[in-house]
Amino acid sequence: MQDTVYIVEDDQGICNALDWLFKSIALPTHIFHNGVDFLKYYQPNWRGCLLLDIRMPQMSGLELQEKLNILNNQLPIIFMTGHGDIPLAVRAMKAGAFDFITKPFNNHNLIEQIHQALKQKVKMRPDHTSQEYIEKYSKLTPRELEVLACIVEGQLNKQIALSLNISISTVEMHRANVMDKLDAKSVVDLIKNYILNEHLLH
Amino acid sequence: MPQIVWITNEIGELTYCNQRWVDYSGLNLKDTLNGQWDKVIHPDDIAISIDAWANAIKNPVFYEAEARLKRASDNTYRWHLVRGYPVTDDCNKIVGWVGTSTDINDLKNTQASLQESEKHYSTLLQAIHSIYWTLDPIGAAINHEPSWEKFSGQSFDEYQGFGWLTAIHPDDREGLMSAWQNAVAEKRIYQHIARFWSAEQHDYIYCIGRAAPLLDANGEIIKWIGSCLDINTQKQAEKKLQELSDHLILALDAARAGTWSWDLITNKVIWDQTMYQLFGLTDLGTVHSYEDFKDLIHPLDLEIVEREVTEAIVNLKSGFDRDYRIIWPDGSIHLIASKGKCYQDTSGKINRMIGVCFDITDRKRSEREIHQNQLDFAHKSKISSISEIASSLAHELNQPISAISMFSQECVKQLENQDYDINNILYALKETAAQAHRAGAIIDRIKNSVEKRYLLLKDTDFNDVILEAIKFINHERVDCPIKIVYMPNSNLPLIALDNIQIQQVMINLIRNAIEALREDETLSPYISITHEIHDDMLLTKIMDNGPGFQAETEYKVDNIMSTKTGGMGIGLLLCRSIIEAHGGKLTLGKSTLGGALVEFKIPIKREIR
Repeated sequence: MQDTVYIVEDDQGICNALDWLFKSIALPTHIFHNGVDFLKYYQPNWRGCLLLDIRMPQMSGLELQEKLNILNNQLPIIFMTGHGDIPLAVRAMKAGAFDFITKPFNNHNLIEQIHQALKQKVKMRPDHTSQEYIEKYSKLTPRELEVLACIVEGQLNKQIALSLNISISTVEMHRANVMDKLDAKSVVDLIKNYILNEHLLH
Repeated sequence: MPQIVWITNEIGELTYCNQRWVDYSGLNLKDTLNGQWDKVIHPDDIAISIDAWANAIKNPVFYEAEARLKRASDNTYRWHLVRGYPVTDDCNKIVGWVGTSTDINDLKNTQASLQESEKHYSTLLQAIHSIYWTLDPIGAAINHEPSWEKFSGQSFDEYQGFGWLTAIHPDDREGLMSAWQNAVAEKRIYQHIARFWSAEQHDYIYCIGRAAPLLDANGEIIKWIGSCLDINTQKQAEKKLQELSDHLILALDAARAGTWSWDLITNKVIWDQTMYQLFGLTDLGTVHSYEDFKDLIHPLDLEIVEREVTEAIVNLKSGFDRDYRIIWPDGSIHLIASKGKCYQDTSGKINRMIGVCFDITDRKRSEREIHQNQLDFAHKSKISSISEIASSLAHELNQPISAISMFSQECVKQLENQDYDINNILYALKETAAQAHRAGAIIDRIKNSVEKRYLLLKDTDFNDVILEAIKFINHERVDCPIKIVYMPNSNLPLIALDNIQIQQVMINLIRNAIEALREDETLSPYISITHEIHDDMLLTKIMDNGPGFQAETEYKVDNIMSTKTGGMGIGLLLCRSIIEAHGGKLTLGKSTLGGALVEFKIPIKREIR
């Protein structure tokens, strides 16, 4: 059986674009417009990955993930999130999501993430050498750790400035340092790595 | 008592009378035996006596009749019981009669008066809708009681013995029985209230049962005579009254209301405890008269209080309602609200007033604050709904933008690599166009959602709108160092506008300026708000000394991408829509302070699209 990208997304425009994009790179897709339909057809022996919208009417992406976890699902899940959905994405990652990507997305990154997920075959987290991460993490200053904790909670720069009682430009400086020290290419990357290794820290 | 004895022959002719007869009737033996005895019998009773005699002859077993016989000593008729027995010979043949005559007048009178009083009693009981009954010495029913049957609907079989207990409310049976047993044991009047089943009302109703024991000469109970009186109406009224009274006490307590009464005839004033508390007096019982009360009123309010009282008395008003100030012994001034009712005597003159007092000092003070809070709340809910709309629209806009982004990136890639199928590209471009169209429709909807809303136009002092907006902003930025400079302009005409919506615009614009100044960390940041009148338009300018708009936006609202993290400039679109709905225009520019300028004009005359 060929690997398939299962897509659960309520927006027809996005579905059309994803379908067209994946066809052009010869990736089989199967589109569902809501979580209920997906669950109706879901088979535990499906191979591939699940591209799941986090915000949907009826059943949200997080609810679907919860149900699939109960069914001992092995499909890696990549969440599609919007602006300001970072706290939701964090929850999804903690519940075992493979990855997440924010809309509007860069096609290249999306395809890259899909390929990584497909390579995984079974639901497993990306390969990160934990020891390496812990070494990097231990180099953060107390202030940087505080800023990191706020970022992971999904706080915006101005909120972080307010809660730590420092100026926004100071937050930006700390943020850049944290990204640099942890080798994160993006905020998404930063949050993801933190969550994946969280159990080893502290 | 010596009895009259008489003897007749076999056909009833008197042959003998004893001396007692002679003494009683005053007739000598000769005249009696000659048949003059009938002169002693009351004329009305002669027929009965003769009938009885005729019966006795026919059926010679026993003779009995009651008749009035005249007593010679006082010439009065007295009731006698006349009894006779036949005397037979050996052959069982009647040879004569022997009889007696007993004076039963006293007994007869007692019976008659007893009958009379029973008749009175039952009539009385009927008149007061009572149930009348008799019970045996221990309380068992042994007689038919028509009034009880009618009331309870029980048949004799049902209520006989102690069956009547089943007509008592189950919860009341125990109490009733113990009251009854006490009465039986002590042989005294029984009285008890319980709920009885009423056949007519199909419900248990409150009745008061009363019974008296009828005692014999030895003091033993012969029977009980009792009644049952419906007191349901009274009982219900009592209950209601109690409830009302409870409610009243609760209400007075909750409202911290004092009550007072004033008898105008005796000039006696009665205050409850709360009144003394309201007037700051620790010693209870120091206010006895109207003059005592007057001493406590603030001198400046004394006149209106006196006028109110006089008017009520002169104009026969039914009540009054007056606020006045009082001075406590500690010198503090309190505001009292007093409401009262006037009562008239039979000639219509007011003779009594009663009323309640409240301390409304705090209420008056907080009324303004409450009003302000309500305004704030109205703003907050409106504003939060606008920001919610904005955030959900941002999410919605994100969808077509994402689709457009995917299509266009892939098209560019394929075209650059010169590895494409023209139909594939065509499909992607068509989809892109459709998604762009969709994004436009979403933006149109934002405008419509504002424009189609009803504008509640009211002639408004624009200064107030701005002052309230600034006040609102100041609430949410307690520690913010940004100065907001605004000089109210007293020459502004009233303008017809929806002040809530225009306030939202003001709040939104001021907030934008504050956030821009904050993010930029401008030194000594400040915002200036000014008015100018141009022809028929009022021009309002909001300026700041922050970073200003980026040059390439060319000061067009549609081109604004928010400088705020997470913002999309939708708030500004909403502001423009509100201003345009008022027939005005919103424009952006560079302020003379170096930062951003947002200005909007709205017509002074009402020219609403």
